[in-house]
Amino acid sequence: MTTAVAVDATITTGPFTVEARFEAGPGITALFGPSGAGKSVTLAAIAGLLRPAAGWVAIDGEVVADTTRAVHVPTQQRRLGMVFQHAALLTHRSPLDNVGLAVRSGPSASRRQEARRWLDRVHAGHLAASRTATLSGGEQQRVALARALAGGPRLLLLDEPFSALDQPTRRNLRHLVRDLVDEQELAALVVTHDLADITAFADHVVLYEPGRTLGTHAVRRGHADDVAALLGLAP
Amino acid sequence: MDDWFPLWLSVRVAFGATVIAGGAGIGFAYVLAKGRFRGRGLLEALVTLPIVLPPTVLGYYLLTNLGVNSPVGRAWEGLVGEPLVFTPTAAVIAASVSALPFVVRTARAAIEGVDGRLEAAARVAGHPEWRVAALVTLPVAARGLTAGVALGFARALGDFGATVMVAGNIPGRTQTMPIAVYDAVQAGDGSTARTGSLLLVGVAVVVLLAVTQLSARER
Amino acid sequence: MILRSAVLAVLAATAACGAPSVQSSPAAPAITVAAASDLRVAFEELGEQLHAETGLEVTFSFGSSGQLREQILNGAPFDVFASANVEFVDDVISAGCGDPATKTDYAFGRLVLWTPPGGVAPSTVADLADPSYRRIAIANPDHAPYGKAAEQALARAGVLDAVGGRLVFGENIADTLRIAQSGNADVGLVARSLTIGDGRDHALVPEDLHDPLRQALVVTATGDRRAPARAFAAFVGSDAGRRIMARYGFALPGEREDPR
Repeated sequence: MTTAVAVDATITTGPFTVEARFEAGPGITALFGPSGAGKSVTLAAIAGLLRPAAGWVAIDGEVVADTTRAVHVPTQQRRLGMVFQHAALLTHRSPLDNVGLAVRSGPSASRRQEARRWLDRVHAGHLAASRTATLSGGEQQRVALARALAGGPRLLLLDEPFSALDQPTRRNLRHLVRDLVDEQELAALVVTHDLADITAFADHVVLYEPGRTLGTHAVRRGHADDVAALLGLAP
Repeated sequence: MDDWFPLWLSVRVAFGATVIAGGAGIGFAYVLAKGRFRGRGLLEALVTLPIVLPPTVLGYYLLTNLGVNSPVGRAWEGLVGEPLVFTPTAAVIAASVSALPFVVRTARAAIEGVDGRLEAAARVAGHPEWRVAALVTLPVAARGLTAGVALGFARALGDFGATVMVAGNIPGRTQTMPIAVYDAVQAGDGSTARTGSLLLVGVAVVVLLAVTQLSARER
Repeated sequence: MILRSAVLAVLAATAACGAPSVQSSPAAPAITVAAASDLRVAFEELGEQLHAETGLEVTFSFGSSGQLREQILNGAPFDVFASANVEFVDDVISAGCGDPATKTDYAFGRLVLWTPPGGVAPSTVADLADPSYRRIAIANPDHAPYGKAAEQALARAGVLDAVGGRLVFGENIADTLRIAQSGNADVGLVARSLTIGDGRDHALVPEDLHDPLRQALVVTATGDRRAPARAFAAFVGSDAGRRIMARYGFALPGEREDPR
């Protein structure tokens, strides 16, 4: 298995510390555990938005952070895509513009085309010129997904992407994420509380207890019993 | 009121000072909001100083550091051919310095209030820090930045103590409206003082209203 | 005192004063006169008269003598400096910003005890010991010559301690009068020249209660504004000028006014 992301680090933010150690390959890896365990902090460190207090992070075999050698590749250069719980779209720009900002290169005309393509792919093409602030939660997350993918990332990070959405929307978006990850042959880390998420699309689960990771486990998509068994292991 | 010079001068000086204090103020606000660097505390203190100092004291320091006996003053005179002090330019400087802390404080709060995840999303998308500021931070903070600049304008328009010290009370040359009002009071000319004050307030209200309308419409 | 001379000596060595930047055209000569605030009414009339006779445009910048001195030392483009005292004029000359040949005493300032209409008017400085004068306005003794003179008068009348906490300071002498006029003080020791026009009698503070308020002027102009500036200075000391000054309550050099 090729390792898409590997982390062995201690990350501190304010009074809170988390020790995270795991590897993840292609496919969807869920980070699961109680609130405040440090899952989002781990994602932030992988993204480079936080610097680890100690340890290292590697993406696709490239060491992007290493405290012993004072390495810290800036977020901008890590070739990631990220989706937050609340889409974090720029409300003063259209959905098309928001996605376009993530397209890395080319003249503006081809960037707009590329952005349009991604919006269509997430079934939000009809929203391209809408007022961003008036989009529903689900629609905003679709746009956020398009933005995350438009830059051609090697790793996708999703931080509780569906927890603010209703059930039917969640189901639709789960399918979408699963299809996109498979189709683009990406690796994705998804922070979630939702067992239904894990059942729907996770290939692996990293279990968290407050302040640290416990271990990685393989699960099969669609197999709720795998998840149940896993919970037997969780504290 | 027969002499419109002070009003016209005040409006010009205030706009010039607003451009300077607004630009510098937003710059300092950004650096103070985002930066972790040595000397940050000192910068913060320096930028707050004009509020803390009595205006005449501020004016005195400006006078001695920009006057004909100072390195800056001499350099200016060498370049431009006349002293920096006791000119409308000096009035602009005095007003800019007085207005700066107001811009910085308001702008900084607005910048700090921008959702960090919006900026994070821009970084993840690959934009360098300056683009993050231009695409995300400043546009999202625009309302607060505008309020800060408007506040700076009001302060610049009304400056007296520092201006009178470093630009002087020279009618027809550097006598701004606040100075003219003060002069009229000193001369016992209540009616000019009242008219002048009303005009000052009027200008400030018109400009501030216009600014509020513009930012409301942008949303 | 020594320190001050030393500072001024250094300034004289390095001072540039106001450069002859704004040239007045020969067709319409114009000068700017920096004058102590107590001179406002008197000098404005002098300026008008001179303009009527010679066409000279005189712009006045009134302020506290201390502030004007500071400004001149740092490059203010004034052509004549008429101070409320003589020390500031000496400072300006020592710093090389004024022509010593043009230094003249133009008047002696006098203090009066000003009260609002209907107020109880004191007839002597010693009367101010009465606590019914809850607030007494004087100019700031630190930088206003009339303030220093007022403080001296209070001391020599033996009531400085008695009035101590009741003193209210004005920025300059015009400010002091305004404080008293606006009701923010019960009585003010103000320049006679500022009150001469109100048609009321105010008790004159005897000259022997304070060091003479020698009011001096000096020409600070350079370049082609020197001549009109000297003309203004000369006019102040001329018979016509002295008549105007006397009318505004200034005691004149060469005459001793009879103290009441």
